[in-house]
Amino acid sequence: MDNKELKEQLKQQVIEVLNLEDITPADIDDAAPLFGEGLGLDSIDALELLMLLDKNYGIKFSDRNQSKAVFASIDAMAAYIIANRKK
Amino acid sequence: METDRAWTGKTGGTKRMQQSLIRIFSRVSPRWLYPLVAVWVLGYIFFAPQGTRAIYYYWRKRQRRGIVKSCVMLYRNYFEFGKVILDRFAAYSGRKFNVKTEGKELIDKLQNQSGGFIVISSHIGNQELAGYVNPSKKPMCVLLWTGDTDTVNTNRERMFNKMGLYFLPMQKDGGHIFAMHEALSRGEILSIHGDRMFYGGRTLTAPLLGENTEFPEGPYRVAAIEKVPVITMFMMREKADTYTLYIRELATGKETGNATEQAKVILNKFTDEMGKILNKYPLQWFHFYQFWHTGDR
Repeated sequence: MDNKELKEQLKQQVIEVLNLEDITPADIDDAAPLFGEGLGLDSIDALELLMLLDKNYGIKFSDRNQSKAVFASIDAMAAYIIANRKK
Repeated sequence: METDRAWTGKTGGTKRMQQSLIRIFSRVSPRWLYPLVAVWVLGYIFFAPQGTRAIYYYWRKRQRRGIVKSCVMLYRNYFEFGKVILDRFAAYSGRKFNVKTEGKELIDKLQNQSGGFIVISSHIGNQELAGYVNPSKKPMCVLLWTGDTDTVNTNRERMFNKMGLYFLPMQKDGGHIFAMHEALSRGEILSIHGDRMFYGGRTLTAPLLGENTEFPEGPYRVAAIEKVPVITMFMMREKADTYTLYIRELATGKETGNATEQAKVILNKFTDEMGKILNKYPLQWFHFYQFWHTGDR
């Protein structure tokens, strides 16, 4: 799976896991922030994303501060998954 | 969120008063101060109108009592709260209470399992004593609002650290969410209040005593996302020095499906159990602010 396909899959997974009913993958900009002004996600949504990375890609965070950078955008998430995925 | 729906998270009384109570209770039973509290609470009734209005509403509309009966129960409700607070300070001083536990097999089973679990607590009865009387085999991470005085927080820590409990302060940026996840990952117990909103944020609606109201979404969604067993505990005062601890299951952790929907299921079970306890112990409702969003005051 290349980077583009991974991002599309990731967007779909984010929409499903966070129950974002009115949003399609096309609405999510790869570089736009997921939290705050972007999709407006909060810290509990971050927990969902953390579980998503664990379940789907076998990634566990050892440093909680790292998560802020990883969940900054779809671009950042995809880059981290490519570098660290276990499955 | 309406401003009167937000809770400041503080125990009443000055720091000096709280320290004096702890010293007194190291020598005498709190019951000797109950007559003083019976008079003291009159001040709260007359000079804390927001709390008085909220408790009157609770008795008049939610417990469906008449006007006169509601006024009487309003006073008794405050008096009961005063007794519970005194008992709490007595616990800080090291005093023991007689406690009967209903549902002990449930917590014993969870304590003996390897994984972590969540306890969703409420502000009815004397919930802080539940941790005090129930020594845990696992470390317990208690999510805590930091608005209380140093006296309350210092004595909480002194008392609870001996019991294997530690506190996790809530942070406005939600940093505590990851610490909660880490605690559960280590197989610890996570204790969260399920009935108060501190920083606003998203809410879920559920019925309690026949009327819908809002609850913080956080505790229920975290429970649903983590997919761990969830229980609730109600520490209810019976008489001087005597309590019953009720332990109830809200989720097994094996439920499947969307976390958002599962969060609602857990909340509905919680409010159902809360309602049953409040029907049995109506005087131990200690939300001194408008808990229900309704124009029916």
